[in-house]
Amino acid sequence: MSEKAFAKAKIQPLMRDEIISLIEHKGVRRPAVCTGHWIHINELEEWKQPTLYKTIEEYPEDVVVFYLKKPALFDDTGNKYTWCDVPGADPSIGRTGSVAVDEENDIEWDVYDKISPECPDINEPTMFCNNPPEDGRYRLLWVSDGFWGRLWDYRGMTNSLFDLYEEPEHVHAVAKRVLRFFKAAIKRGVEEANIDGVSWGDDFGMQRDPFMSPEMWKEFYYPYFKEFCDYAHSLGLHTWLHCCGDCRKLIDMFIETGVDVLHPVQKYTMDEKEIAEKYGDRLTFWAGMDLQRIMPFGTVDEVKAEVRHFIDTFHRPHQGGLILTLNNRIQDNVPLENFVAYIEEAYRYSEEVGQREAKK
Amino acid sequence: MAILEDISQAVQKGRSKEVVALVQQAIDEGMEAKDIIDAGLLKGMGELGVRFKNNEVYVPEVLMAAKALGRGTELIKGKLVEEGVKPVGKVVIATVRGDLHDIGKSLVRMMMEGSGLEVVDLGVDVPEDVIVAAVNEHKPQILALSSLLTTTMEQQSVVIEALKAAGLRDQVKVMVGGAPLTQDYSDKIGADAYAPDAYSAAEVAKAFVSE
Repeated sequence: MSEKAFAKAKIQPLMRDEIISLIEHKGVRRPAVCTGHWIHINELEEWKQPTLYKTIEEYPEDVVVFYLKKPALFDDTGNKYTWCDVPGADPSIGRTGSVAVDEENDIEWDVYDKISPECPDINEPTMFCNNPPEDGRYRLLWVSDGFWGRLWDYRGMTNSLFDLYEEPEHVHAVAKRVLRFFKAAIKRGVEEANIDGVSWGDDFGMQRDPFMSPEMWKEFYYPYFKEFCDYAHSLGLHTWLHCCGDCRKLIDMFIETGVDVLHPVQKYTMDEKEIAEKYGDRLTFWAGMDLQRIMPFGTVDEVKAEVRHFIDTFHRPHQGGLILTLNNRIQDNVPLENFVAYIEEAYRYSEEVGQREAKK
Repeated sequence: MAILEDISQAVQKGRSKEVVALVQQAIDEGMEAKDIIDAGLLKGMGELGVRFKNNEVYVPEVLMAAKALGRGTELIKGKLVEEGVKPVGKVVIATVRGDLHDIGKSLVRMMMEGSGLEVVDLGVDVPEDVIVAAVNEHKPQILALSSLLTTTMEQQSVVIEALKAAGLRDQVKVMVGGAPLTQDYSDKIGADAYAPDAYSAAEVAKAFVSE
């Protein structure tokens, strides 16, 4: 954002040091708000877009989120910035009808074994082509699917779940490939994009309980989370994990491995008050407004009440610990007025909370 | 019979090879297929289902058990026909139009099969006319509909209306499920039952067919 844009905004965003202080529970002038990449305005209905752009302009994000250029899932043209460079491996080639999410990209392990070890290419020149201009705000790099999510991308969800028993070495191999890429990406991110944090998605939770047992998670994912978080911390970065669903049985291990920020604390799968009370002293929450019921089907007043509830639940007075957002990618079934209400109330109430604390 | 308990245990541990060997041994010893399936294979899957509902085991364990159950059942399929053993009921299951998610539906299917139900799985992104045609063709007692998305859950209501229009609504119980669903929503669209998880879905289905 330019200085002119900052001046025109209805609210002054939190700046880098303030967000760092918030994440580290060292105090902040108000709770933060960052919808980030959970909205892709250009993918929503065209008539809504001007209002959405205007709203975001008037209420600038407290954190600037941007994408690492995603390596292609399949590319057999010789380009190594891909997760699979095996000729003809893309199962969508020649496909005419729709298939289940499980079957979209799944490949056999003998195909996986042929992927070049240097994929994705960590020297890809355009890796940071989405790098926004530096404006003093905290900069979060989203590196997409993580150690478990990438296994789904290769194998589909059902196969992945079988693989935990039947192909453990391959499960580790995928995680190692992701780790290599992520570590290289954040090192470059610090040097080339001045990032402050890294975020990735690994959906371990279902509506109730994680997909796998805590013991299995510890065996397959603990080591990679630990190595990645340790490395990120050594570069001075915070680690932000997106994990949908009920992940209560894993949160202690997330913290042990070094996760600093958790998104989204999915409503109706976990009790937000319980999570905030139990982990609020050790985690910061990128807490997400519910997209299953309240945002799409609630009234404007219900949306506003939920915003206040989230801020009251997750924000720790005189410490921080909350960045408010949506719990996943917003869809067109969310009424425009509900999105605007969420943004306006989020900033209004966060200011109110900040001012109240400043007086004490 | 110890061997039937062994089969049950092997199913619960997801040991397909062991299940196949034990089922073969039971056949060789002259046991009836109905006993092998009821007191061995389905008992094992049923007990695992209870542990899954109680959050003691997780999806990979259910998948491995379902695979073992399938291998064991395959081995005695012919014998079941010979003995005239029939499934306890029939279910048509589908993820509704516009929704490509299948893991939830597959878990429900596995749990239902593990309860002795025959399940006709229509897959994902299934239009209402295809579902209605399948109900007409297979004559199930139960139609189970799944959707993961808030943007597709309304399609379950479309299916129910299509069943009414085809004059089939009173011939089949409609069950609905999926992450964004609630009992209230199920009531609102006129479904016969909502199940919050796979094991409960199988329990509800068993109750329907035993009515």
